[in-house]
Amino acid sequence: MSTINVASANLDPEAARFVHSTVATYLSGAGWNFVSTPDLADILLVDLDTPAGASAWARLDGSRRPVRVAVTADHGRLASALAVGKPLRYSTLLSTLRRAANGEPGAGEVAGGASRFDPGKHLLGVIQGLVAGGRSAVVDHPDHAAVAIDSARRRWAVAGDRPLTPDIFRLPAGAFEMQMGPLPAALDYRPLEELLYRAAWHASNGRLQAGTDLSTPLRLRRWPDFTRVPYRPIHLRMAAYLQGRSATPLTIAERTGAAVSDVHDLLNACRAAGLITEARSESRPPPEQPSAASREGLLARIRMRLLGGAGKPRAGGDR
Amino acid sequence: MRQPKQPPAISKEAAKACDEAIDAMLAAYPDLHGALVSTADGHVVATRLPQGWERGDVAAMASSMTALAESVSQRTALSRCRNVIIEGEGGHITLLKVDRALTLTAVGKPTMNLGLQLSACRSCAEQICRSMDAQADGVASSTGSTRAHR
Amino acid sequence: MSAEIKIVFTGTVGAGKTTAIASVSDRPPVATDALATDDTGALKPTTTVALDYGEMRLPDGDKLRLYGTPGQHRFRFMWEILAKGALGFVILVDNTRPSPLEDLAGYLDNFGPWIERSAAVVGVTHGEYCRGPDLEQYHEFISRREAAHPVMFTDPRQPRHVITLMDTLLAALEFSTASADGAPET
Repeated sequence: MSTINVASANLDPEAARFVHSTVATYLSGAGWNFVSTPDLADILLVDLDTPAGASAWARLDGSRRPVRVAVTADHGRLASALAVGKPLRYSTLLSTLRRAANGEPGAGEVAGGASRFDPGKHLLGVIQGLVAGGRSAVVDHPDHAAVAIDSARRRWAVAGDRPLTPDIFRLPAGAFEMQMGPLPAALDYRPLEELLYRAAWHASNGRLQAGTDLSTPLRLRRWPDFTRVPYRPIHLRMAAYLQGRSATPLTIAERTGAAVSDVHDLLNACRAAGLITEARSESRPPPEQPSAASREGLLARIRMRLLGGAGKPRAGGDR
Repeated sequence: MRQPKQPPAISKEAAKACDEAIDAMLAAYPDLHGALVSTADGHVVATRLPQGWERGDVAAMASSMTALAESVSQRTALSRCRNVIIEGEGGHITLLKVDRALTLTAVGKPTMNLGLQLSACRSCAEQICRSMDAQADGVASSTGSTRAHR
Repeated sequence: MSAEIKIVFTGTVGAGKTTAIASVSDRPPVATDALATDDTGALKPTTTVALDYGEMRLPDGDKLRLYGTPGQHRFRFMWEILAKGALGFVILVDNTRPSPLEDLAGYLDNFGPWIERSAAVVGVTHGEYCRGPDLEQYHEFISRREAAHPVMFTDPRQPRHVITLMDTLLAALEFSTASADGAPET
């Protein structure tokens, strides 16, 4: 697998970070790297809308390396040459980069990005296996809490004295033992959906789930119970966006301003809890509201007051 | 006139006392449209309101008004609220606490003097309290028990 | 003069409206309680007869006003007064009542015209007793009404639960004015 280096020239810092994260998340597994030095680049994104960028573009004219990709707000330029419009969007950036690399797979395919989230490798897979087989058991680990899984009634409980901590969900599946048979009586049982959600949320680590297709629109069947499962504030906005709409993960990220890692965490957790369904097509994006800007400002102020500090994970069970 | 269904905490005798008191007041002051006694949580105890007036609504609104007024009164250092006066284009509405549990609402015509209306309501409230005290004393003396809380 | 910024808490008697506001208000809330003389008295000694009022100060000095409505139908005139201009609604439903879904329908109907212009979230209280409908049943019930309000189990005594409900309401408000339209779905 040959390496493809991508760099940017004269992009504003936020756009440069966007390119970097896109390459790291979706293309690094296929041998792509983001490099800070344009001289090392095979593909160079240049901001055509700045004088310095226009000069850099002109200097590259006639060069065989690197391949130039124009970043511009002038959408009239997008039809010719390799160009991507502002503001940058994951889908168009990915497809343009692949075109620049000549023959890379199209934007709809999973091109082998960074490591994938595989539920089967974690406690989540153990639980899902029990549920799929209709079996109940106490799942045990020598250093962690034991968890009773009641598949018939779709509920779970902590069995024993040790508290359940988030790191248990990141342990490899093979580290757990199962004690089949009647479950202990008089435990504090809770809906299984909560445990499935938490198990996926903590093991996901921002990764795309293996075997999922970025181009498949998804729909939220029902809201997670955020008073009982962990979440970050951005997850509420994503859930609200998906309420009554279907969208791909990239669209969700673009429309809500979420990082793709946050999108993956929410979707992985909702998928594990049975709250996500696939849709045939994406909903049209909501039209802009005339008063959207002022209302967004008000909502942001209220949100700031509620949270008392941006971006902290909220408790619904654990952090 | 048909008695409204009594909420459990108000006895039939107490309701009858309220009926008699407001009957007497309306007889003495024909410039009143009508009157109503309600519980603090908005149930009708006794009512003499003109046909077509929603007495249930009036009872509930009286409850809300007196509760809000009490809250305002306490927060503005006026201490307890004695009564609430609403001045409408067609007359005054006065709401007066009979005791902790009951409120007397009277609706006056444009010709009714406000001071007179308040005085009439106070007298009516006092009559209700006297009747209830007498009933409580009567029950106590017949059963040997202490006075029941209204 | 800026418009009033308010969120209305409504729902069944004893669901925890007053408690919810008290758990997040910056100052002791105003309550208008009176002795309960009917069946309510079996649940609690007093009941709200006008409104509850709490507030949260916003970063720029504005106040987010929190209003709680009385739960009984006879105080419905207060519902209309309080609902006007509300940013959104938090509907609390006591899951131990005989028909919580019917209760919810009543509040969705009563506040329907205002909810259509804003948003609502549903907090199911007393859910820890495991009686009453589960979240799937609430979701199906709301879906049959062609709505999609978020529903969560809530302990109104817990500030973080109440904040999560309000945070969810804000998220729903952000996208609620533009409903999904047109695209065929499966």
